[in-house]
Amino acid sequence: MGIVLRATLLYLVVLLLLRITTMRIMRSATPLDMAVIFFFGGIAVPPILGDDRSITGALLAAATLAGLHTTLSHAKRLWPTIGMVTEGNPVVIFSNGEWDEAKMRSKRVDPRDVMAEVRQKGLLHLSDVQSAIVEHNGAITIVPKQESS
Amino acid sequence: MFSDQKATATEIEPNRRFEAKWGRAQAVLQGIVGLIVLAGLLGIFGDGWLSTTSRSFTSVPLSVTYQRLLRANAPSEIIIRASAPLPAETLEIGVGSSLLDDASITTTEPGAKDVAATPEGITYRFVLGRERTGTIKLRLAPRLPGRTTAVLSVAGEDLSLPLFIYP
Repeated sequence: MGIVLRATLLYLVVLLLLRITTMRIMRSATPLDMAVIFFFGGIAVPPILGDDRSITGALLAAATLAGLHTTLSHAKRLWPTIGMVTEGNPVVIFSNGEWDEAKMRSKRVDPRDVMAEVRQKGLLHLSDVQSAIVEHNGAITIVPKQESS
Repeated sequence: MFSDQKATATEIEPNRRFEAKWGRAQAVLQGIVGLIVLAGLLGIFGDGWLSTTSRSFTSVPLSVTYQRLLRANAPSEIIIRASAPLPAETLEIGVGSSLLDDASITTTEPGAKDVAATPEGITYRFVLGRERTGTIKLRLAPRLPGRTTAVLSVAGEDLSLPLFIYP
């Protein structure tokens, strides 16, 4: 029982800490983001398992984390608030040639992050960009300007 | 739901039969994960309500609380409590060799005054003091998975504690 409770607590704590520290894990993680992820992984495991080096203990901890993740994934479909708390909402940080400094500060995104995505999109200049959006999964979406006919 | 025509217009290789089967398998696996977590909360894998049990000696006022479901390489405790004053200020507890084949007793709390090893097992002698009551903890380190029995002996009486050790 202790493993299930400790795994649940640590999952929620790490989820919250990741939510307030870095969201750019899967798409555009920088060394800054990766350092947080590596350390979180290392720090969270010992309190869950303690002196327990059994296969059953590891299986139970893994099943608890998988179960929590599945439950939260289903729950956020039913109650969007859970999705907003755990993942956030899309935020427009650049539109029509103007940066929204306040939103960039709150999302901790700088123009270099956006420019990297602009180049990956095959665009050369910021003037080719209609808007840039930080998605709920941390990815930055670049919307190119529509060519006028 | 996309129509087949729309789906195949995009260059992907849909395998609906596999996806349907995988969807069912995933639901079953998620159910199993849920059952494992529930079993863990109830203590079926040790350290919980269904695992913790107590037994008592009949000739002396001693009760033994222990986990009947253990995990190999995960420490546990056998707690022996004197619910009423014992006949003497010292208490000898014998631990049968059947347990020692599958688990080790790493430490005791309080420390034993004497420890004697015999072919039948280990005998610990504890000093209880004038109150002749107290709690003794035997710290257990299960090593080998499977069924085993811990036999505790006090004042010539044997108390069998059946155990199951998970891998």
